[in-house]
Amino acid sequence: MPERVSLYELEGQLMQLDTRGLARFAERIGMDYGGRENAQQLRAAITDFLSDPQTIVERIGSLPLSQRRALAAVAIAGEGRTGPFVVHGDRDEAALHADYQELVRRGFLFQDPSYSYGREPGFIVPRELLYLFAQGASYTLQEQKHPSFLRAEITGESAGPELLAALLRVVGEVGRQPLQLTQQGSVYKRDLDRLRKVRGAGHFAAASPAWARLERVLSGAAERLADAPWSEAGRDVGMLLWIGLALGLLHAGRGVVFGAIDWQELLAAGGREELWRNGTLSLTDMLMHKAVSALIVLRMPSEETWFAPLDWMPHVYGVPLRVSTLESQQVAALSLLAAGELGLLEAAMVGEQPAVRLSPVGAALLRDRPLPELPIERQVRILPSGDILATDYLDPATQAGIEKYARPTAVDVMTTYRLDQGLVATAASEGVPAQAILGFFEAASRDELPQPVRFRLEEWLQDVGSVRFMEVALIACESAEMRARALSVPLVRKESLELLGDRWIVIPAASEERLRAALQAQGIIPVAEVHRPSGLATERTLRQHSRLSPYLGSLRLGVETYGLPLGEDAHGED
Amino acid sequence: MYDPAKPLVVQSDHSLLLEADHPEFESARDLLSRFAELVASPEHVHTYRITRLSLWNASESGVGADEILAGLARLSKFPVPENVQFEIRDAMQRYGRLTLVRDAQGRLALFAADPLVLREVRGHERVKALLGEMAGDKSCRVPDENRGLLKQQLLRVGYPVRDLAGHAKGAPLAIELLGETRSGKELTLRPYQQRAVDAFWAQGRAEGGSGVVVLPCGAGKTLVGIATMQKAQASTLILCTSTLAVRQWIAEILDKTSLTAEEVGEYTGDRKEVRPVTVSTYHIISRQDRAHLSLFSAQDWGLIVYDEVHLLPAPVFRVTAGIQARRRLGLTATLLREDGHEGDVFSLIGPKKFDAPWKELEAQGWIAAARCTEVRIPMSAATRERYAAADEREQFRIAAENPDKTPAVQELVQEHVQAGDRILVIGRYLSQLRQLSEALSAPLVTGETPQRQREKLFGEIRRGERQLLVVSNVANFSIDLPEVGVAIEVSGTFGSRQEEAQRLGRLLRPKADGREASFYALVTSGSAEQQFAALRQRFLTEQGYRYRIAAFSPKDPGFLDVAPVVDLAAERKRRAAQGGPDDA
Repeated sequence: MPERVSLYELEGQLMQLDTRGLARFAERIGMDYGGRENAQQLRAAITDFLSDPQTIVERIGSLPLSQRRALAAVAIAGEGRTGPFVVHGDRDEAALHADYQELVRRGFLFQDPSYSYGREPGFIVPRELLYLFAQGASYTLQEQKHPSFLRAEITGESAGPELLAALLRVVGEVGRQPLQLTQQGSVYKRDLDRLRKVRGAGHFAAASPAWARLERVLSGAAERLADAPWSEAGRDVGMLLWIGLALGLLHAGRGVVFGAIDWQELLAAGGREELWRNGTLSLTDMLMHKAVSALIVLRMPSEETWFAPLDWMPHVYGVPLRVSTLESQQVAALSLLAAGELGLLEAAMVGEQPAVRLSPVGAALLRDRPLPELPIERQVRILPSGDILATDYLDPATQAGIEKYARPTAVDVMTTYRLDQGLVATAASEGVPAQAILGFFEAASRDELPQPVRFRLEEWLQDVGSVRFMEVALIACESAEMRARALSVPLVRKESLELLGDRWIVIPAASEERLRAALQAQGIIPVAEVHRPSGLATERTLRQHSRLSPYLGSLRLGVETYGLPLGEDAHGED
Repeated sequence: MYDPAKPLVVQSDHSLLLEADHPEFESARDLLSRFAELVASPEHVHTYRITRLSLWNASESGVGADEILAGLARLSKFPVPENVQFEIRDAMQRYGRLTLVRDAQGRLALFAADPLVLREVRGHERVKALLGEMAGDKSCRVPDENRGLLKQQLLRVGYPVRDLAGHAKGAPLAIELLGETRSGKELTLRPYQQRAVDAFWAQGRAEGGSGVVVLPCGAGKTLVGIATMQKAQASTLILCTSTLAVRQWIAEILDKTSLTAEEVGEYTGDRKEVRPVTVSTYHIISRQDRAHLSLFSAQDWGLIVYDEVHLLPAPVFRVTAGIQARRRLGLTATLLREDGHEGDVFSLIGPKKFDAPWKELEAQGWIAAARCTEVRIPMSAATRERYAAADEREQFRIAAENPDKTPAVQELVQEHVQAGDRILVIGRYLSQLRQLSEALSAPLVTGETPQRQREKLFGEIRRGERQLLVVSNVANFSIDLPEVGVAIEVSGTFGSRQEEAQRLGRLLRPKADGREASFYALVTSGSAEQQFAALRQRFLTEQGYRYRIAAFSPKDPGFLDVAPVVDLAAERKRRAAQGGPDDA
């Protein structure tokens, strides 16, 4: 195994297997490996299979709930490693271990070579797959990589409060479990940051009416859950836990309690004050911040009133806390982020002050107000300037399409995007046909696509692919006469792409061997070595090399390989 | 509750999105223009913004918060965000809580109905320094010389003051607007011009006499100024942007009023005449040596007119702060200032008194419709090579002076000359303009062209004796060429909103035959120029002009083949039906 390949990487794990072991592994994970006979090919095929996003989505979608949950626990919460989770109010360690083993069998987890918990081995998600699994096990509206069952829920329709109530019950259940804080609060924060990143939450300002998205998810899930076994038994909370994770209602860190941290207070669960009293600030500060977020939401006086979060802080803390003003500000900032992300808060500037209040859905879910009707108007207006105005209730495909080609500039009742040349070019270079891009905007736009927008899109798309890097080789002759001789060889003349200065011939890099042979056949013997300058060829390096050549005594003809953009005018004068 | 049938979306960032194709568009626009600034009016959706200044302007014109909120609620698809409602109420209740008045002895005083407000503003050091002694708990003396500075400071602390202290009448001067101009044309104010004058004058009450009239280029701002002079019947100082504009003002005044040449003076670099009506430039007033600041006190001016008030330079602001007892009329096509000093215009010249959107006047036929086309010109291999090797600054110039623009200009000129249009080719770089002048066999007007020669050439264009002129940036400001119907911009200070507005403004005078104006911007494709041109494109589309992009190839002419923006016959018919001029 190469020295630098770690066992925490997929490559490292696969390196431990010989050809037969790899074939068995491929069979186990359901991969067709026919036709690949050596270990190198098999490793490459397995790597491709395991890291293909679409395959991941399908594979995760096929897992039983308990295994999805376990995978999420490792991939999202555990940063790719297992820990002594205590999240399973209704499950025992043996069942959890069985899930892990099954995930190993299916190629999601691998055994941790250096770590174990008591008698049990530890498990890892290889580094290359960690983000993909986390993403696959997460909910992102913009990218269609979430598991199929969640995708169905996103597009479903139903009422949400029942589901939220159920979620809150789960949160409360989990919250009553003893907390085992094996890490500092910073771990928790890191998880939170990563979750935000994974979920693409950075896209949305606090004022976003993201509640509509939340509502859609809740609605769909409620309908689905109506037939789920848990609702009869009241014990299997796997589905809810999963949704809680996906929505960010539940969080966990490595060895930290899995879920429930912020939202336990929604049920005013007992035990929190005890934790606060006994825990030191350094150990629990981040947990408190999140819990306080929930408290702020819950203890707001009215959904009709805007208030500045900092002004409200003294009223929020139910118990005396040793927090400095700075920490209070952090609390307020986190509160806004967390509740705003979940769509439970609206934020706005009132005068010079930032202010928040419960959003309509926040009021509906947390204060038993009627759930607002979901507006049904879905429209996209494309302006001649390239600005795109979109209602917030677009179907996910249209929204994803817009965000593929345009960047959001303002998130409000109507979200404003601006067409972005870089994004359009990226999509085109990834293989989206120009006509499909234009067609998307024509179909999405309520009005005829403005002429300047069409012109600009066509112009951008026309440029895509018009510049490319090529690998070329350079035949560097000692004199103009020598180049003329070389060019007299028919194959050289045929293969030459460009003549540079009076002594160089540019040829495709792949033709080097054939041309070398052709030259030799005509008695022109190139030097055996190919000269490879360390940097990119520039006029300066070309000049340097041309200066060097006279000193290379016996060198009659050299072949030098460069990354040289075609058409560049280099000067070959000494 | 959500109602998709309505035309407006009120965003929580105080912007308003109005559907331009909605049946209620016109009534909604009329309402919004009273308390919000039109930011952009492209096809489909117009954007307005509610600002404190726009709300205070609305307060000044008698619009109240309840009326605004009721209007927004009536038009809005979604409930009006709470913070927007709060801001509207808060801003509007601040306006007029302080007033500048004169007491029985004629002394200037700051008055507040609520003593706490007075106490609050006195708490600001900069405000306090401008105030005199208290006169009771609701009033405080103000030295006359601090009147303007105090208004500026109070605006900055969020309490714009209503200035009801009145204005000096100034030295009397009999001015009559003629029923027929001296050149023999019938002269009447257009309805919107009359409304602008009346709004400014406010029947001579203290509420009037200072403020800004916003009218697009070509809508007759000069005539509004002259009609205001007639109302004032007093000696008047007029400040403009250039000597040429000074002379045009003088020519207009002499053509349209009873004033004689002896009563109207030019105060410029060439002449220093101080007469009952004196027309001067910002430039000479703002000179560093301050030698000409005394012009403000040279006469007992009863009215000061600030032409193109959005260009008012800082030194003139400072002087204006000291002459708040004079009536002040600002004339402009836009309140937007590149330097963001809109607040100073509000406090020192006065609130906006009248505003008529360009597109509205265009629809009524008072100004010409315009069609904007960006023409992309490729670079030849040689130019491309030079461009690639140049630094960023040079690149812009190489692109701007792309020699392949010449055949495109020639083709455009040929097309429009045949159609009988009068054409300006406008550019920034003299070498390019000289070359074009030669290629087109057309005279060139630059800053170096003697005044007499300029006036001769512009006169020829006006009279239709000449169809084509090549002009440098000197043609950008305040040159009245009403019959020019085509502008071809070959290079410019791209990105400057003012410049674009001015260049387009050249074309917006109504044409005798109702013909639409054409504005072409020639841009070298794949160059830095194209990036800058995108800013211009944004500006013009946001101003409501339909903008098209066409690609020019020297080998493949015919790029002009873009559909006309306006159906001229239909347009004339519509104007006639609306009672607008069918041959302005």
